[in-house]
Amino acid sequence: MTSGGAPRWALCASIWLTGCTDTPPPAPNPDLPAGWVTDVVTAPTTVLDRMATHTDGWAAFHRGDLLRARDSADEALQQRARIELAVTRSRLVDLTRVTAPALARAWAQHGGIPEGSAVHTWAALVVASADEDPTPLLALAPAPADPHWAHVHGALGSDLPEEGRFHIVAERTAGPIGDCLRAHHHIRAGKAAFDLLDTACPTPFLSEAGGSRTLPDPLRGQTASIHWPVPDAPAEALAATLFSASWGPDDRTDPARGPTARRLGLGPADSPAAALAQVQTLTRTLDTWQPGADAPGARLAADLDAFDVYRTHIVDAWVDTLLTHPLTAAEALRAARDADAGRTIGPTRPPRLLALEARVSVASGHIRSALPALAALAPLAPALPELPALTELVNDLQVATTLGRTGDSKEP
Amino acid sequence: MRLSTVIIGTFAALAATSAEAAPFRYIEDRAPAIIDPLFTTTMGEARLQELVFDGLYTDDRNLRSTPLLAKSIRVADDRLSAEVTLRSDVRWHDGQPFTADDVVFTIQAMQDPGTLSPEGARVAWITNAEAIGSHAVRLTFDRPQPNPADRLYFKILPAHVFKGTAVRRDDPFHTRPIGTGPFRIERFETDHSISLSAAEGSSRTADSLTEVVMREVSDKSYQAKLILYESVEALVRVLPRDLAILQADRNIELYPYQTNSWWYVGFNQRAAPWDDTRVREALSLLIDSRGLLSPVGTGEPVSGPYVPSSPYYNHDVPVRQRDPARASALLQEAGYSRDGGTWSKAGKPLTVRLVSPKGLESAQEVAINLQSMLQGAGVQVDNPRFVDEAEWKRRVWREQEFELVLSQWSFDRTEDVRQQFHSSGTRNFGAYANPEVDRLLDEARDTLDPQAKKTALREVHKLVAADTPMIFLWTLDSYSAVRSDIRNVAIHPFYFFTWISEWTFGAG
Repeated sequence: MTSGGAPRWALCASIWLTGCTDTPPPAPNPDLPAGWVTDVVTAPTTVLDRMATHTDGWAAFHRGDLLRARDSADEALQQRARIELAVTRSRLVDLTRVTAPALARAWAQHGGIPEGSAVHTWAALVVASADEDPTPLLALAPAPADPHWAHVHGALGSDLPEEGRFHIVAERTAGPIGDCLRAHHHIRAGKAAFDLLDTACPTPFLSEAGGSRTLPDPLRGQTASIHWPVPDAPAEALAATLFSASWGPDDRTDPARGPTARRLGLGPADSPAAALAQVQTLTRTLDTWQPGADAPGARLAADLDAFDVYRTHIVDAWVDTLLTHPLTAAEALRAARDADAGRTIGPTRPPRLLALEARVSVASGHIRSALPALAALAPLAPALPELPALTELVNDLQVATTLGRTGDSKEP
Repeated sequence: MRLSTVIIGTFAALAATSAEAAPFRYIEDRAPAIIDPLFTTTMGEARLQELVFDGLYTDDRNLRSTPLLAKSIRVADDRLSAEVTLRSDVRWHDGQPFTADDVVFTIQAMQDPGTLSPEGARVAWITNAEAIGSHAVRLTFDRPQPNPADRLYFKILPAHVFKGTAVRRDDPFHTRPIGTGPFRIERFETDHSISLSAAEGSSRTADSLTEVVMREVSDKSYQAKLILYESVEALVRVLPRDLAILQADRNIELYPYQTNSWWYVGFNQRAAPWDDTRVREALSLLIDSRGLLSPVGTGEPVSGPYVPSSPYYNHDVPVRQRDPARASALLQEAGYSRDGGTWSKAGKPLTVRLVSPKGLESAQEVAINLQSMLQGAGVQVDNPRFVDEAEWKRRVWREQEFELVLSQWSFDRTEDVRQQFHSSGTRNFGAYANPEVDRLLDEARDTLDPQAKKTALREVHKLVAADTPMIFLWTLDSYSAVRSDIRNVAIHPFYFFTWISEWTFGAG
């Protein structure tokens, strides 16, 4: 597994496309399921032909440079890049949903929410926006001193139905925060443009203690996610699956539970040990699927890290089904991690995986481990403008959970 | 010749060990010089102590405080005191019962000025400790403590084996320690291996691992071979260049070991010329830290005393770039001139005398390249010295008999640099002092507002970077390797072995 495959691959592609090879005719392994990895191994020219006119864009996509891939003239590739960005964003939304209430709880537990503060109300808003019960968070401290936030607090504390909480809170809240919440609601309902938030919402969203304590608008990511949902995949099978968790067309609906994942031994896991065993089985099985040196696409598969890229993506999709067991999910990610891939986004460290890693780290209490993953995502901030503020939230959570602890430091 | 002898000897020793009943064998770059929590200074010591000793509280798998030698805690309403009920089912490795006297003794020993414990700051917040029963203690605090359990992680010592609370570093205990942890020391050998066996009556019973062997293998390039050839079960730290080959072995699992570490060159600011900020800054401007890093492996340069992913890292402070022109200006301002190619002042050449701990991976390479860079820029550099553990502790920790050090700090998840940069810090070997930094570190320690703490420490980063008590170099990715026949492995991000009692050997 290497992170530096893309440039070699681009060179490799150009060599293939100019026909400077005398590789023998394809000898497909009948055991391999049909799909993109099999195509790379047995029919490399099919794969390379597909990317021939937009090699740079596909190379960018392969190494996780979604901004460059999104700018490609290849429409299918654009779609794929948008899908990846949308999935990454939805995971960051989920991270916000986990982080905001954890921050309020940690603040209350370790330092005490300052008198008159709206930190807990702010967190309750995130929870209500995810249609979860905000009242336990409201109980962490009295109503905020700021009348606008006190109004939000009151609205969140009133009888709310199990669904549509956010809509009702937005309707019931007066003042500038209410204006902002209604803007969010209108955008989510498709009745307003996204940039309405720029005029309707205060910046910073919450400001206390003379501006020394601030919290961002935690709903922007979710509103963006609803406003720009995950696009449909391209209709064309190869372009839709290349470098993804879907080995073949039959996996596209639900790769983590698809036929290839089942063949590779992935299924429910309720303990870290079970997760590790499944990743080990997956890895060993994929090893047996690796082509021999005489396979027509052996070199392309190696240069693309095709098996490792697929392994990364299928584990990513599978871990997404394990989130109710954070330590199990964390162990699965650990076991599948490409330790040799460096710190940045790369073929085996795609943005969606980094967002998932951050989310799992926070949920498992290993908050500090989320921060390198978020730092690696920083180049995507132009497409995910909520990312820097979310990173600061996770920073705050990390600090809050260690407040009052005696630190330890040692020499090597 | 010597290396091959060592290699053959090590293989023979490990093979002999493996013929017995399945020990868990792990490798350290440097064997602990001392196994006494009062005097712990290195990661290797901290890891070994995690096997032998316990605190009142520890981290659970979700990094929440959970009782270990404590059973429960009742904090007073004013949060200025707490009563801790202790477990009554725990015995020391010599069979004596663990009691409240042990807790009181430990706190008093850490605080006793006669002990000179570098760990004393960990209990400085406790103003009084008294036994209020055979298995209950009352602790009184210097200020309200929201969660005192979070601070009761320090290791507890057996009162009955010491003569008083002033404990000497060379007390026989340091090689014959007695703890309550899951493993007891069996042999502390002169060949730097340490053997431990599962202890009965301990706080954490290791169900499957019955024997642990720690072995020092200072040749890092040889460590990977040992785990590949199944001669050991674990490497604590894998060289970056070995990651690919270990990852390709399906019988080895790699674990991120996030110790928040950074490398540095530290100055002793007690005397000229290193008491002059201009000279320190000039030296830092003559170094190309990226150039020094490249032979070491993949890592990230740092601009101050945190790793870049830290909440406290100040991203507005750029990593210092090599700038010989600015360095020249600073040296001239400080009274130096470059005569005959060498910077000197009053006829005395600017000379760097660097000392580094033996066994610090890649340190020799870094030191030699550093020497070459500085000599090329007109600074005289004596041959770097690599000293063993005992000499390092004497020269650097106790007697501050050094000019420059090349070393590394690792931090737990609090990333608390107070001891390194506060003028009263126990790890502030270089005598750095800046009243504003002291004030900010005090504020960061005392505040209950996470954002205020974050803001204060980012300012500390900025001020410390400007003062240059150290040349901040880089942080490296850190992985451990464990053979996959060790199951249920979970590695604590700092102490490594915290959850070892859950590890099992073999299938199932």
